[in-house]
Amino acid sequence: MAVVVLVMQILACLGLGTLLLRALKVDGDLATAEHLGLAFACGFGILGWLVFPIGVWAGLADGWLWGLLAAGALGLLLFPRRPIQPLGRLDAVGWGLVVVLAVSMAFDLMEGLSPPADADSLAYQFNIPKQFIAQGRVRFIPRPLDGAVPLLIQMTYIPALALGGERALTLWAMVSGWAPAFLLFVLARRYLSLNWSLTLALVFLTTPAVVYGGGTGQVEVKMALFVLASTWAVVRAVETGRTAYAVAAGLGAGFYVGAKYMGLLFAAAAGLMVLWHRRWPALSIAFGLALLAAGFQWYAWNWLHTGDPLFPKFYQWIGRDGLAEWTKAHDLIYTEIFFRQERGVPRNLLWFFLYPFKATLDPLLVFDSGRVGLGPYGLLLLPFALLGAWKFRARLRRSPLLVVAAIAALYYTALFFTGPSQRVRHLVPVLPLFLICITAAAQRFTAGTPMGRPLIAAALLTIGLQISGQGLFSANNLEFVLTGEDRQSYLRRNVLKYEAAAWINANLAKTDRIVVNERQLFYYLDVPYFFASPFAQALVDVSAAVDDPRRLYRQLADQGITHLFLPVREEAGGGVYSAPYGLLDRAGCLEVMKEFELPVFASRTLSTLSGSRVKARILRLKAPSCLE
Amino acid sequence: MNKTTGKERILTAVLWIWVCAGLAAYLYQFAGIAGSIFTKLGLA
Repeated sequence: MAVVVLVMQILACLGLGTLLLRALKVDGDLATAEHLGLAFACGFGILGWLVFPIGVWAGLADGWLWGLLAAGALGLLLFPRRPIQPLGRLDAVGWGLVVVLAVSMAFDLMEGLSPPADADSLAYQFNIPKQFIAQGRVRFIPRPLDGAVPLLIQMTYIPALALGGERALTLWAMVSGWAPAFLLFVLARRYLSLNWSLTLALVFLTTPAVVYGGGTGQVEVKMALFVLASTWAVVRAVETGRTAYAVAAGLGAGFYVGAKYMGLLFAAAAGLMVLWHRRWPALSIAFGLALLAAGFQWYAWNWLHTGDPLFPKFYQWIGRDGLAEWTKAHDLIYTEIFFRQERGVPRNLLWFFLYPFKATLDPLLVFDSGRVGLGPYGLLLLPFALLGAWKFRARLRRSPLLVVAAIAALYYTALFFTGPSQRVRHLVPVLPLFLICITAAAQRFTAGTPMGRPLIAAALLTIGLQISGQGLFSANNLEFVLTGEDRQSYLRRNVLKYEAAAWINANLAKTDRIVVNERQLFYYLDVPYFFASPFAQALVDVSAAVDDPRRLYRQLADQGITHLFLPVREEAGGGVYSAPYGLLDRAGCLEVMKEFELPVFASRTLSTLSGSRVKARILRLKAPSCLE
Repeated sequence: MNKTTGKERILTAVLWIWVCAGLAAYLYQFAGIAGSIFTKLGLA
């Protein structure tokens, strides 16, 4: 069933996208492969867009979801009946690249056949769709950062998970992670040879950040689809002045806006480029209206429930009072702390230029680019690309690639100076634009000269290095798939503290509710839980300043808490549990039900990086009489 | 391929150095985890 659902979902995306391209009449001059790539990108956005209203008003019953997929797939009837235009003839190098590409995709398949293990996916990317399906409809989640946020891509996970189960979900994550590489390949063919286009797809697909996030629930790689489709349409709008392309560009940008707040920065960058044409008033109006139509849903949803469309960005000023889960006093402290943690270097002109080098060569932990960065390709090609841009500066002014480069540069500028986070993964959606531009500039500069050799070496070394890394990353999944390892054993090896989740599921009842602050366990918990982090809620005050055990007890009891899963502190002098839970321990309100010694690893791939163990306990919250 | 000029030869050499040095600098950051990779591969 998983494969049937996967195929149906692919066909639905292709069909919905085909409908849109035909409706806008922008499919006339597309090669077959371009049509497939762009249709999938548009359809992917439309599918996510449609599941939301269905989930809110009609419910997530299987019938509705099957109906949506089937109706979407019918759009393929409008697929242009033209002879298939070949993308070129493969030579020996091309075949070699195809073989390496197949190896990379085989590694991805191993991940697609394994249970999900990525922490963010388990915390919310996959967990939120799972919750919505269990509840039968889409409901507002009053939690900042990973609850009340744009969820357009997570909506596409719902049909896969509801109809095909977890296997369909992970395979869908895999396919939607491949799609940007395919679209990059076909769009790159407009500017590069077949071999260089294949090289680009391979560099992208094996980029550590893409390997890490592409096959998971994380949205950055998948958002590259919207970026590529929107940028293609902006280029065509500037070339032709046709309003339909501006609409397509606005829809692509709008889907990105609907998938993540960062999409607003991309929308601004793409919108500015639409102004490049003398028909800019009509084009920008069309772009803006389409952007609004595609991206408004989750902002309206947030505004409806919190008063702040970008919750919690402006909550302090325009948010609704009386939201128990996230009060303004709480927001004042924790939003600021959270976003301060996300910045490693100052936002000034010096670091604007130095950040990419620092992130590539000497990353801070907060950049999240040590093992899962953007790879060495950009660094290695930099002088080739700069020399190419200088040499062909006169021709560059009329090149469509200038628009592509400008969108990528504007996005980076906006992200660096105004973005909430300096994690490199936020650059992944525009990575394909960067790759096309630097490769085209570098390749043109070196064409017909001996400088082509170091360029080719740079590309091949990058691919060799990256696919080796991908192989290492995939070792866990290979072991699971090829050795027939059982699911529990795999999860114990790959999900931090999973053993506790297994114990909780086996020993607690559905009527219990346990405090769990380990986000990576949420997806696997079958009993109700409560995430008590101060960055997620204001219902229970868990700050270290709390000194009244009765108040803490009452707040926990009000949430129906019956158990807690807490780490045991090893330091001498302090309590056994971190503040403020030590108050309840000293009052005699906590009964130890189970103690674990759990392995801790900083990386699933390189679990030997930190092979320590920590103690943690499942505790029962005793009756209120413990406080008398 | 056209006849290579002296300027092109120098530029080619510089670009080779850049590629090699860039790759070395990129790999250097992983020195800390190299031991871990070796352990994983059973070589340590």
